[in-house]
Amino acid sequence: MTNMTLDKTTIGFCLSAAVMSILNTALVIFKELTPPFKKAMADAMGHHWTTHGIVVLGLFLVLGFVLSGAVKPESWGAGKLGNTLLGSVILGSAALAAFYLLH
Amino acid sequence: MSLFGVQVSIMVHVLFGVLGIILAVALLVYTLNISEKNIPKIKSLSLWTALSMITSYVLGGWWYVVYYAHERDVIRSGAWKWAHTFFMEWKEHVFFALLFLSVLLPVIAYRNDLMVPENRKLLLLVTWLIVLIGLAVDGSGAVISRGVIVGYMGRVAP
Repeated sequence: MTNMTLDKTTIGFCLSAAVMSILNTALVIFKELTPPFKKAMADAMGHHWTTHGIVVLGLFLVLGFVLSGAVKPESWGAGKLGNTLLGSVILGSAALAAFYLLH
Repeated sequence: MSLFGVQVSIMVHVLFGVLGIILAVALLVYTLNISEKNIPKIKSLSLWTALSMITSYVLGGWWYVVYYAHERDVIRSGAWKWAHTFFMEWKEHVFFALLFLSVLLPVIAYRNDLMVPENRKLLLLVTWLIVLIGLAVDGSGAVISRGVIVGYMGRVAP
């Protein structure tokens, strides 16, 4: 039998990827504009990028599992989910590029 | 690690990144030509694409944290400072979006009915994003490598 709806894990992790694409860029901008915070990130794990990676990847996994349990599959069709993901990835990547062009 | 080992490790990082892009392109082809017979190949390709990108990230991340500082200083001392200040800075952070998308691939492929056109479109979208961001990251890596050479050129022939 054909299953038209996406499974909850797929929706949860797609939404997590969308949110984290934006939060990743927000964290970059915040740490670059706040040197003490960037230094604290470097002190925490030896390099600010290592800490950055652990934080965003950890949040991606946690948020993915949390949202997988919370979403209603009927509220998120594949088209709506795809548009949300596409918009956030383009926005996150472009904002990152714009920030480093101007910084 | 020896100089040879350091150089090989960064080349293996690039190798897995390029392999991930090639696997993603193969995944696009199979998904665009969907059939019941192709579904096991699509699932397998989604998994290998993700594993290839994760391996590239781990190798590149280790190299970046341990060995990049010297090359960064060489780039900054040369005429192509922007190879670091724009391309490396952008690349090292946009790679996380590439990782999120790579992890999504097998989740979508294994847990949903790909014979449903809408579900298939979602898989195609994520795969396209991986190919395009992967190519942009790969190109940035090439610019960074040239930035190192330009930096050394300034040192030997001012």
